[in-house]
Amino acid sequence: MRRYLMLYLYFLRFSFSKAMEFRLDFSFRILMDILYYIVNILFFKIIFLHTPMLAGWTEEQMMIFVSCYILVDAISMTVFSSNMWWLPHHINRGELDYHLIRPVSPLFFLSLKEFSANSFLNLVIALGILIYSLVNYSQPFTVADVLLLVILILNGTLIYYCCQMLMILPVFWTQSSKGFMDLFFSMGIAMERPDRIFKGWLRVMFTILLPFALIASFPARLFIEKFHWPTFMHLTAVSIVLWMVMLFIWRKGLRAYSSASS
Amino acid sequence: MIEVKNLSKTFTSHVKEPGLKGSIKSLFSRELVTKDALKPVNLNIEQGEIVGLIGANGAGKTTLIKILAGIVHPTAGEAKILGYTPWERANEYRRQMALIMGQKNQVWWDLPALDSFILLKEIYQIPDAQYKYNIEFLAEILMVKDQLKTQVRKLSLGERMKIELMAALLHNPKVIFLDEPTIGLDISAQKAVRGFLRQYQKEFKPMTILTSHYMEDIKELCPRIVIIKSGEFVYDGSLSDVQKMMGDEKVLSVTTQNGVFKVSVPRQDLAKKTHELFEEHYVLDLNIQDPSIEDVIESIMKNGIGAT
Amino acid sequence: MKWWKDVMGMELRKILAYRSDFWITFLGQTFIQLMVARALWQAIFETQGVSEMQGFTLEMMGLYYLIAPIGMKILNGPNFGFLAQEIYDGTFTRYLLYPLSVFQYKTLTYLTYSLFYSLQMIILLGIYRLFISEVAFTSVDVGHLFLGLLLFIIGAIAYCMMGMMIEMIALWADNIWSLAVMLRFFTSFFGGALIPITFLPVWAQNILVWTPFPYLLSLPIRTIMGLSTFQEVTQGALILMLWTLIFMEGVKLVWKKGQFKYTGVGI
Repeated sequence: MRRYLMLYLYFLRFSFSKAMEFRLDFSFRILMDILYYIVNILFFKIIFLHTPMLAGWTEEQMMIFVSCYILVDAISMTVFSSNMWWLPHHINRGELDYHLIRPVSPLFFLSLKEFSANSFLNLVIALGILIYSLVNYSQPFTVADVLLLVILILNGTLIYYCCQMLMILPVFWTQSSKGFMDLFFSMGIAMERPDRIFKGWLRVMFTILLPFALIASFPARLFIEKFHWPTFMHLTAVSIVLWMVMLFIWRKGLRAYSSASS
Repeated sequence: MIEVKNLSKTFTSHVKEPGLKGSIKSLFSRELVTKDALKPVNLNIEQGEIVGLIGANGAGKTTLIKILAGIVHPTAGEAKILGYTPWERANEYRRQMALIMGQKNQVWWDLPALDSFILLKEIYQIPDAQYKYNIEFLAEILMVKDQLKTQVRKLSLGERMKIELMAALLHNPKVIFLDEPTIGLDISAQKAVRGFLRQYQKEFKPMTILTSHYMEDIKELCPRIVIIKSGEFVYDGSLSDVQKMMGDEKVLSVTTQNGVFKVSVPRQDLAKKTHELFEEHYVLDLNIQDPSIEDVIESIMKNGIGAT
Repeated sequence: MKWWKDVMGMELRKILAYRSDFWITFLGQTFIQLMVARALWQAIFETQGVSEMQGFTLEMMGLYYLIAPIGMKILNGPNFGFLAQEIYDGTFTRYLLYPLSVFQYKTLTYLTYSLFYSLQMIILLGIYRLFISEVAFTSVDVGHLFLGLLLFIIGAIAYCMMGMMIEMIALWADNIWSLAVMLRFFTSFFGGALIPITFLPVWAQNILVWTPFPYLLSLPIRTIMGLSTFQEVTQGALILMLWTLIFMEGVKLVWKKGQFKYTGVGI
């Protein structure tokens, strides 16, 4: 454990020293994320021009939800996105070889090595948006509520990571990840909608099978509404199972990689 | 100790008919073909031994090496290296093993070599003293002391290979797999790498398997060679004995007005053949030699043992 | 001039190269986006207790969100990176060696994708009508469908020019995919893929008329749905062509400045 922590510190050190050399494309990326935040906030502002309530939430409650998923997005952009971008390429071109011969978990290495130090600014902005929407929230809440919200947002980031991995891992068998990655990004929209709008099999899908609704919507619900044990237990159980399923498929995938590579 | 018993590997792949029609058809159904990359092979290597693995492209060299490094799962058979089954990838095994591929990089391009090394120190948990000693020792004999602080991508190909070697050997592996370590290097860099490998082998006595397209590498480093052809071992024995495989053959190298050509002839036919040559050509010069190691190996790689 | 046939055939084979990709993007992606959008609007219609908003019934909303994502695909062609990636890894060099214009070649491959997705649109509309919602199709007819697709193709040419202009910034910066993604955000939001633009405040709509976005998405979608007049369609087509010319000049200008920056790395 200590060794992995040390390794991660090295990753951070490398990426910050790399970010020091300013490159034009870094600033494009920061701009892109900011635009993403603006578009998402505007989207719900426009919806609320036409309705006073949506899925049981008022506009200010919706803004808390929106800032939750913006924060999830910012964290995963900084911590995971570069790694997730390269992972299918590595698998596809048979570049896992050197990761497999080392006495360190290849999953750890491949998921965390590229920390995007230049997206750090977006992390600060996203955090600012969350604080702003909390400060402007008219209902009473406690420090414990906020603490729980933050923990659940971190958990949401892990769910997001797992879902993305589940969409990347088929590349071990299909050789091309483009289709699944496109599917992931279009499914990502399910994270950006309050979970109450999903009914029937769509609800089963987004709260259990590919639990995008658990990333931000459940945490926001536990914060905005009274703490609700069944919701919390659902969130915990699905998170744990998802994590285990992801690890299982990862191992199967490595096995397939080993039998297919030459 | 490396012990390999009946190890084999089969691949399956899809075939697709050419053309747009084939593309549309393959959306619905596809045909599978299988290929034997490695037919059952046996191999034993002792502590301190260095073995040269020789074969044409696609003969199965890299597949064998990747299986022994634990990257590829075999289809059938067994292997024990230092008591571990490689593809179970036990951390204890991986800590004692190194793989160097001339065509793939393991150090990070955007970082100076020393940064990569320090990460490897952490990964392999190399003790401080050993780490310091190895950096000194390796950089000294590879002569890359001044390049350690430069971004790796700014180094020349030869220097980069040296850095790769350093990176792979920092943890003093007991088993080393070298897959074409001199590929693409110029003559002097090739020499440097060879010299280094010889010295390293003498100093640390690891078990090493080396593949290379350059006979020079093999001749200088490997007392024992294994020749692999279409997934099968056709020769496993000492380098000097390989010449005996050609049996009683002699090579005639003939110079005519049109240039030089070579013919190999059984010893008993030597007189007859020479006579024929003088009758058929206007011979300027004639040389009778024993076949060189290169000739023998090339002939085995092409025709197998029986045909020679 | 037969080479264009070969180019298009090759591009088509590339699209079909991976069958899982094909089926996922063809059915999976479209379906998910449609279902999520439908769920959202159902919730809105229910809280409001109305059967129509801004001229849309819930069924029409469903159809709208079926057309919008495929429409985005028609516009996007081979997706972002079609030029920038090649500039980055150096394969761009080959176009400088071929005896033809890079931009003609690229536009042609781009259009192959757009036409391919247009065909997908027709098939998916057919499936939707047969199996999911016939009601939504009351005002749809074949004439409008082809008029709308024509608008999409004209839009795709304009968008291709816009894309090329942006992707050529890769001559100066290593990685511009984020710029291309930004263009996509803009188009999907201001073009009406996320929310029909009639839901925007009127002042915002009045500004948008001066940008290409509503003509790229909103207008062709509405045309396919049979909601726009013939005059709107011809006007929109003309405006799109005007934008194409403007962006074409832009491409020329950027290339004129940028070609000296091209180093041919990776070769």
